[in-house]
Amino acid sequence: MPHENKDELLRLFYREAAPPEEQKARQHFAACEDCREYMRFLTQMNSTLNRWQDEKPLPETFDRILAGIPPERPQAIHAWPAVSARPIFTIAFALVFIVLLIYFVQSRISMFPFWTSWSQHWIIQTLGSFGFVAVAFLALGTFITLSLAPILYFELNKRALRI
Amino acid sequence: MEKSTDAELMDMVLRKNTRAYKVLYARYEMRIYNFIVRYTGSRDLAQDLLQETFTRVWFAAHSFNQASGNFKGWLYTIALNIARSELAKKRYAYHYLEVSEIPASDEPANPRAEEPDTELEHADLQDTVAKALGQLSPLLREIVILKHYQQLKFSEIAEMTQTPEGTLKARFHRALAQLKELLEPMEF
Repeated sequence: MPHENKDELLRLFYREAAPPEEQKARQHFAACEDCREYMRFLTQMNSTLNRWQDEKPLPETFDRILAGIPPERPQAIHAWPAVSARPIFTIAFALVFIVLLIYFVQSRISMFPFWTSWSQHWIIQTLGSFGFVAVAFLALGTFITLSLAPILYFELNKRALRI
Repeated sequence: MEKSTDAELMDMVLRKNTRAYKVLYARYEMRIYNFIVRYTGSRDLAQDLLQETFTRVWFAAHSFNQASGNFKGWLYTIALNIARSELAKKRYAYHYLEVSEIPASDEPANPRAEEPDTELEHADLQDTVAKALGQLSPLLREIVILKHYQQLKFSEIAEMTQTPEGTLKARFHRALAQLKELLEPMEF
């Protein structure tokens, strides 16, 4: 190592040099007064600068920092949205009511005069009296809904349609 | 949590964990505070800038590169940028420090300084070093503080300041030479 390479001496002084590099430099020192002189200078400067010792910041600093940041929000809990029980009960009651109504109608259907001839039809034979009444109710319900659909549509969109 | 690495703590800070944030603060408050005190020459300003540095850590946690895991370098870069811009803002940068701003601390951190005479002598020496450091240009002062007091490697400082290592070493030699001249009256 050429003795004028002060950068290498710095690396050595601050222990940033690799072990083989350090070994080589130490061998060089033994014979180089200039390098030893510069290392003495670094050592002396080191101890002089160390006279300015570390100080502690005010203990309340962290509280001040925390006061300046927004409060931690609680983590959002991923849950099902609240469901109102009312429509569920309404639908359940409606279904029970319809089933009971179908049952009542099918128990009385033999009283109708057309039933004697209709009951021989293969569709009714397949569906049974309960199935037939259920299908009849479904058809009636569909008919009523479709009939009322335009009225409901116009009623609900009255404002948008400027009627 | 105290045993977690800086990168792990930063990951928690990113999820707004204030306990992890406090651990990080406790780990680095002294280093950052003393870096800023020596750089700006003012304890009051250092107190404010320390606060600003850690506030920025909280708000800019997303910009920390988890892959590199070099929290120390990232933190020093923030502190250095804040200190530099503060000095530039106050137009201190080209006038150098007002050395009178660094009076000797009332409570020196040196536990050996128990006897009044020794304490006084220590305060004087500290004041002299502070004044000499304050008379260096900001760039020279910066390298002395980062290298000598903060014990950072030249490669780390080069990464932080985006300056070639050779330039930093040249500045360091120049700074030491100037300090030697400034400290000569005290029989350096």
